[in-house]
Amino acid sequence: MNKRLSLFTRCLILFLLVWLFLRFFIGGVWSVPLPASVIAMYVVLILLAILVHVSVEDDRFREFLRPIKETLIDDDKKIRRIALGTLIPLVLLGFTFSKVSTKADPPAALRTAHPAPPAELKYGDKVIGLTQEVENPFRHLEKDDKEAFKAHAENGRRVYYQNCFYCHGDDLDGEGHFAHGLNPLPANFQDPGIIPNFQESFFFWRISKGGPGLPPAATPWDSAMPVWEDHLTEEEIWDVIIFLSEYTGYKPRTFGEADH
Amino acid sequence: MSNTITKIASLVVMIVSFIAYVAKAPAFPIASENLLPWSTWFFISTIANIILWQRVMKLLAFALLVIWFYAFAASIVPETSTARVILDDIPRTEEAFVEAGEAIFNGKGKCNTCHTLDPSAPKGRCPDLSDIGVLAGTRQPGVSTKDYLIESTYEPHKFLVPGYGNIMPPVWKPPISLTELEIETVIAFLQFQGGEVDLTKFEPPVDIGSAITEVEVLPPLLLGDVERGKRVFVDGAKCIACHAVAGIEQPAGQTLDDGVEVVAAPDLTDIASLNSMRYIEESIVKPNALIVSGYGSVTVKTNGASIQGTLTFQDEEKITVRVKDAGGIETEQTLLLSELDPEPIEELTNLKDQGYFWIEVNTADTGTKVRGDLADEDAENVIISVDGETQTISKSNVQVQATIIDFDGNEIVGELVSENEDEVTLMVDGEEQVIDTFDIDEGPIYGRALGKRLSVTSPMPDNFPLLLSVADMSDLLAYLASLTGATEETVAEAGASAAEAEDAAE
Amino acid sequence: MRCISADSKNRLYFYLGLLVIYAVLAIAPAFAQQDATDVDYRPFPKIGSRSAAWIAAQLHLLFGSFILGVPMFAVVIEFVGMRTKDKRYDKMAQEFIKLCMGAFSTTALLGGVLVFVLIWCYPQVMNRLTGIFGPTMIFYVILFFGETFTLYLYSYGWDRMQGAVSKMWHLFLGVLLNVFGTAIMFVSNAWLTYQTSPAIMGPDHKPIALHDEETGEFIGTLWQAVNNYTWMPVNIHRLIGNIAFGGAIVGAYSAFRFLVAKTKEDRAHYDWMGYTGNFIALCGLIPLPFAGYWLGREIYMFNNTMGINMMGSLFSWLFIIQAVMIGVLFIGANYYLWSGMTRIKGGEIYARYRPYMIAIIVLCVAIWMTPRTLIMSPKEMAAMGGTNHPLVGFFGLMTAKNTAVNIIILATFLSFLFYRRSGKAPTVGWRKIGNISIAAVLGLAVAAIIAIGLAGFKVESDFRVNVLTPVQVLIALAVMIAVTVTDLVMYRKAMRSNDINWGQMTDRSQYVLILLAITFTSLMGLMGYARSGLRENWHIFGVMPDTSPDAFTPLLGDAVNVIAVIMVIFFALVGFIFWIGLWGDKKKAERATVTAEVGVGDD
Repeated sequence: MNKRLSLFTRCLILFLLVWLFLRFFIGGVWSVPLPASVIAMYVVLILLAILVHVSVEDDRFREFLRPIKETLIDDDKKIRRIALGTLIPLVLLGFTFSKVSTKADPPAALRTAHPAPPAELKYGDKVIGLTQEVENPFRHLEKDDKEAFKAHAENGRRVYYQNCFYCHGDDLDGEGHFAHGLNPLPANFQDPGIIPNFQESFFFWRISKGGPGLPPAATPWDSAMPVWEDHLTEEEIWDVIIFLSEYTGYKPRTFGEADH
Repeated sequence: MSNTITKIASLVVMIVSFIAYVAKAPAFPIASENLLPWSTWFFISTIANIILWQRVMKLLAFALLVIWFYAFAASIVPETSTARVILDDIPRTEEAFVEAGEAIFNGKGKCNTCHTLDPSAPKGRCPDLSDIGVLAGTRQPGVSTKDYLIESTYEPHKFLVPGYGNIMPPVWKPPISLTELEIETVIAFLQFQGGEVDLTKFEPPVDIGSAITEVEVLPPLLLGDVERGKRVFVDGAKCIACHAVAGIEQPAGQTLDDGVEVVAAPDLTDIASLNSMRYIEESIVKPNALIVSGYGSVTVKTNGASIQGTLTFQDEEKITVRVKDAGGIETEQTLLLSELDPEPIEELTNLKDQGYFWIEVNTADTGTKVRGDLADEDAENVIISVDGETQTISKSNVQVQATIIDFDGNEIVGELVSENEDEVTLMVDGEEQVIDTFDIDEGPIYGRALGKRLSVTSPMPDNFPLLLSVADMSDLLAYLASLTGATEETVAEAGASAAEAEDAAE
Repeated sequence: MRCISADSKNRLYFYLGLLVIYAVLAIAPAFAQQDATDVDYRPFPKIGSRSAAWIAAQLHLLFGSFILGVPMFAVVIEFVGMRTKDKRYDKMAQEFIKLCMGAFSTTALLGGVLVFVLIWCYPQVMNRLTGIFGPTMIFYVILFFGETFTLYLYSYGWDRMQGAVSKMWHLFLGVLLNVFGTAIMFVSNAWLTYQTSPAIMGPDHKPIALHDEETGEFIGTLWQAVNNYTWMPVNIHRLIGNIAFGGAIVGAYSAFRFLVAKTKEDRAHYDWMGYTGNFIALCGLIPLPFAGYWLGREIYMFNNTMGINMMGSLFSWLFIIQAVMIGVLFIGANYYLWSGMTRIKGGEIYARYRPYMIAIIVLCVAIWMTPRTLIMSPKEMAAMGGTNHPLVGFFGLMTAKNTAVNIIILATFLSFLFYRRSGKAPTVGWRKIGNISIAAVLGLAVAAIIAIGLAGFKVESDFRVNVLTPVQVLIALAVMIAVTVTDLVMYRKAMRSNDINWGQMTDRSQYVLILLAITFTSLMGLMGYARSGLRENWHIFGVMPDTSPDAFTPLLGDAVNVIAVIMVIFFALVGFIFWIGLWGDKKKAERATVTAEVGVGDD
């Protein structure tokens, strides 16, 4: 047992360290800042973990609660009581102030990143088939005719660099030079969660219908992606999908279930 | 006794706040969701109950807390409802319109994202709308409540409440896309906030149907600011170092960052009156797409010497290149195209795009040399014009020369016979020579043909799209769009009259 | 009539419930037929049709789940009691069935309410379903009769059928009860799974529609409608879920009795019963994710729009809340095990591992809970430079989550192992090698699971789904089996330092049992919303559209409030039933004391 610090203080220090780690070490030294919602979730978990640890055994729990009880009751802890008695209202005041003060930030929004496609896959008004069943008409060339497949991928590259590159970037990582002006940001195809999780028909749908074609669940128009069926042929869209998977090395899903 | 009262009071608060929370009742005592929501009431009172009570009541409070916790955790997720309000056959009554309007205000219209309906609420991004039914008539002299509301929904930019920015989108446009009828109900709902509801039909100031079909994607340049664009032109991207614009002093003889050389570039004083904005935009994003005659940079080899400079003149037989020597003195050299050195070509694709105009190939089947002007090229063949006659040669019928340098430094040049992972077979002077790939230091470098080329590129850096932010880019384009050759005075005049017009509009 | 006994009260309540449901079943078809042709929907006053049907259905399902789950393990416990000749087991099984009896009539009542609500609010839908499923409804009634009388005999015959032969018959009755119960659930599952997936499975898993594409007319057979695409997965998922749920509710009941117990014996008894309930719940909980995984896969195969809606779009956040609940379940279960070690002398030596175990579990739960789509303001998004965080973003992917959950399961298993070993010392000669090899195997398994998880980021998703994830699960299962066997052999002739001091538990651990039960129930409520909501605006998916004002999918934030209301009603009803049970016990206890005193006097 550590004699110098009480169990409560040690737990408090651990809690603060974790918070500092999440808030400033991850979000600054190591990587980019985490959203407040994620930090809140992790911090609540740590709090839970600490409470679990101290409360399993009666003795330890009493030891943990002792400083709190002492602060509330003991005569020699008067200074501490007064300090807390002023600090807590001040903190609450600051919290209230932060709530009341004007904020120009738009509110947090949850965006459905992977909306569900419609049952029928369409190019313009032409029905191609059921989204679930449509396959890339040139995918079979990968086995049957490598040269032709390469040509399709090459054509996809052309289409990509003529149309998509400005936003999705020359490394397909969503870092195109227009990207930073857009909200939501363009998709990053190098992310392992994008290409492997969807069938090619899904990508066809997203490319052909663009932001305006998003379903209600994903708020239509909430994306700067143009309606590419107005500009590209069916073949060009399939080609660019081949290019996406060839360039990144990720294979679109063929048949299975989706992830979060 | 007081203990019992506290216990019962906290129990009552807990139950009331739980019901209020689930039923989504307005906050109490201050009707502001931000300050003291029912969730806070419930949480505090439940904790109090758990501490105060014993046994069964303690247990019940705990159970309620757990049930509530999951509901609360799930309600944190911000979502938008997919519920649709169908207004097709809504009766034209105050009650129906106000009810529908409220649903749209909080739902499809997304008004509640920025507007509040609560005078005690903290100042939001947009004006609070409680009592807007009365206030609307006082905002602009001579504008009635209803007309004001019509204008603020259809054309929100026209009048801004002092202290608030121009951030409201016209609600009839996508993504919100309210219909005329829906806007009518929202207006009815807003009138209902303290005022009288007037349900008479009105003529919308914007014809939604035709306006939406006319929506055109405008190039970003129209959003830019000319003055900021000028700063980008002079200080940010330092365009001024090479491109002259009348009225701006050009800094002399400086080298730019990243070793970009200052070269002569087209004068842009009246660029906007000479070219379309599409062209200007393309010239920044892709400088090589079209090069203004006399400003391209070129590298050619003649008699073993490499000459690099600006292509100032070109015809079918000769070119003139302006070359700057080490001392910075410029001389012009005229070269005959026929005197250029042929260079080995590795891949027989896109020859024209690479600037080849003359080509020499060895055919594999007959072993003859064919040389002449490059007439045309497609996926399978190259067409060479030899003394006025064209010859079509299949790309697969071209003898490949390979050059290998081994670790001893020997250069082996021969015709490529075969090649695999382990070895390369070359035909050198009629004899087959097999070279193990382990011995290869460099190569094989393939030569499928020899060609003379004149490749002209723009000396302008092609990384401006990466260096400039979207905002900088649109400002720059806006500035370039203002370069019509007009003098400073006329520009100032036009600006003044525009300002006057704006004043008049207000 | 003042001192009416709890048993006869129960019986009265029971008959009343039966009467109501039989009446409903008898008149329901006529009711549906009467004016179904002209009304599509009738609004339910105040709360609306959807909420009314929702609340009635969910409550019915929760009670149904309880009365189907409890007999399953009651029979097993009774069998254990018969084999070990330990009367305690027999008593406990009987107590379980008593709880079941109390809930049985409520289930029937709620079923009646549900039928009324559905026929009143959705006459056309019911008309259509009766048209297809008419014969199964008659079958259902027959099964219901069977279930009622078997339960009746099983419960009331318990004390009388204690002879060697009659005990066998009694056990047989218990098995029969479970057969009836399971069959009832299978029949009613057919109705609702048909609504979700009106298609049968063709070759290559391709769904074959049961309806004419043009007219929407039903063209299949009754058996095809029953054996539809998601019927079996739902059956299995619910069967396992019922066991877990029954165990959790029994645990909560014991915790409640523990907390209000006045005698030491009562505390010891209910502590032991709570431990058993929790153990059963855990046994059900561990295979449940795999059954759910299968169900999810079948839904995706039936219709991938539905699948993406479930996991990636409309309901994706619901699965984060589900992850929170599962996280609570695992942390709570471990907490209970660690608390349990404090009542065993010699359990303290394992306490030093606890901080590390907590760290591992919490870390895994954090990964398990991290959503793919983060909630953030545009400003935060800009600061992050994208919608996915470069570090935490990986946690959102399925391969990370699968890895985390396998490790959580292994950690929970290890907690259980420590619990089992508490207060015992092995006497076999190879105990040192045994311990080292168990530690090594567990360590290697975790390393392998993590390695596979990391590989999952790189491979094609088909390979990951079909090979890597099952391998991870198999590693975890194989290790658990191997370690259990080794441990059993090692401790077969162990020295017992001390027995378990039943009843010496902290009150907090009992609250955890209640927390687990509420979490289980909320989880079922939430998943009920998802299962039903997946149909979106269809009564019968792709065939019969919902044109009522409630056709839209309610927001998660609104749905959870309805679920909270359902939870409150459910626990109020359950609490009431438990409370009535308490009365009966009090009376019995008093009578027992009186008899004892009389006995003393006689002496």
